Amino acid sequence: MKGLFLKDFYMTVHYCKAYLLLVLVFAGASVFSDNLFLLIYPFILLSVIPVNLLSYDEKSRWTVYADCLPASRKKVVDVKYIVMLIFLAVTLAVFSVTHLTYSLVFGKGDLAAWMIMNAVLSSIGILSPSLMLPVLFKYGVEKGRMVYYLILILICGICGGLSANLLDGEIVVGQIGLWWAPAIVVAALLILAVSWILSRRFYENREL
Amino acid sequence: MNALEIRDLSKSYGDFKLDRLNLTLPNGCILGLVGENGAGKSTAMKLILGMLKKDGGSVRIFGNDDNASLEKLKEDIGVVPDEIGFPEFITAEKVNRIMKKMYQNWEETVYFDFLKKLDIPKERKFKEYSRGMKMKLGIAVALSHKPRLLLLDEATNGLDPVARDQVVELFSEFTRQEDHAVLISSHIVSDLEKICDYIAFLHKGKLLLCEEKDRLLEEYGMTHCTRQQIVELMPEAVIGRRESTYSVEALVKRSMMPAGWEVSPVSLEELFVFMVKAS
Repeated sequence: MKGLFLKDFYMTVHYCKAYLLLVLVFAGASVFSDNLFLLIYPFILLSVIPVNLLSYDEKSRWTVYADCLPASRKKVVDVKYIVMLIFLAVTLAVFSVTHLTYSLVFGKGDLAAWMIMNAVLSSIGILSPSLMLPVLFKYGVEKGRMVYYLILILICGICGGLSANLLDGEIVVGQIGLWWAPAIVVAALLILAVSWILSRRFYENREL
Repeated sequence: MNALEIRDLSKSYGDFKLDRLNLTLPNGCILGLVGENGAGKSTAMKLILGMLKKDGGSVRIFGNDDNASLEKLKEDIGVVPDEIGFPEFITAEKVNRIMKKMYQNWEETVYFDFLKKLDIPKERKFKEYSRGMKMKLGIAVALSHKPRLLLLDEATNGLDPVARDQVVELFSEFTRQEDHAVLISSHIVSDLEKICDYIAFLHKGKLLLCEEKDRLLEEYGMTHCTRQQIVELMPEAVIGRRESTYSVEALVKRSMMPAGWEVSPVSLEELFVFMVKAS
């Protein structure tokens, strides 16, 4: 498993630098703007990380070569999910640090609202790859590409709806209460767990 | 003990069928799997490694039954697939770091010795390697974690004659240890003729024969005669024939030839071609 991690680490350093730069730029810009797109977009884009890694694996024929090595397919799946979660944690951390710093320096912002926002953003970050990865592990990146785009459109639609109705944290806290922040994260984690199990099962039964 | 036992291994997809393949690879031996493109060599390799689900039959590796953990067994198996797949920016140096974490028995010094021996640049990116270099890197990886069994699928393809000779010698050296074995598939029969103890012919998913190489070469021979002469032979003695305007070249069973007939040695390549045509 460590070998798979190291290989994916090399790949993320090589292929995903642009994403980290985008996170930094969007985190900085979102502080000075009310445009929710700046907040949500990096989390939607998070699904691109494991999809890209899988795509490069297939293109370089690593997918087949890895099957010759002492690494089970379960572990191959696990590594992609863990890499995705690491990127989610990094993205959340960058956004949180940026917004907290802004709050401290300028004395603006609302902690409860930010917690709501964090819950929604992390759920979006979990939801999009969780919906996509099982399809890609079952059919491969080439065949699964159409489903991938459909899911991306679906997620964008959900986010559009959320940004129109729910993402004003202060209103939500006032009307519903702070309790739904952990509830939405738990729901996303449940979807993640189901997705992880399905991906393992699909990939173990796939013929390479 | 046998390194590999394959019994009635079957797999169908599309219009291809690997039909009840039976092979035994004893320790200390090299078994060459010869077949034309699409004969089922790679399918057989993938079934052994669990990359494809078999429709029927069994595969025993080092005496372990089908249910044994392939992940653990692969620690002792060096594999060179028909295409080596590393990310394009990876260097041989980074491959060492990855494999060190992948294999429990990874031998760094052995790996770097192989890189040197096979002229593989350490710092060049994988995408800049020629096909031959990629194969050599795969071979270096396969030999550097104390494997007991080598599974080589067209591993000499893309290598120049000098490198091929060098690599074939490495495989031969590998089986000098009693508990080592090699299954090598190729359609370059001359390579297999040099090193194999056993030869299996695979044609359109069916095993035509699996024999000791020396016995095979003793059993069969080539004869050159006229069209009239060939009909004098018992039909069972003639395995296949190639006719020209004035003469006939025939693959024959030496034991069934009448006295006085001149029978010359046959190469594995000729034997394979005649047998495929006759099948």
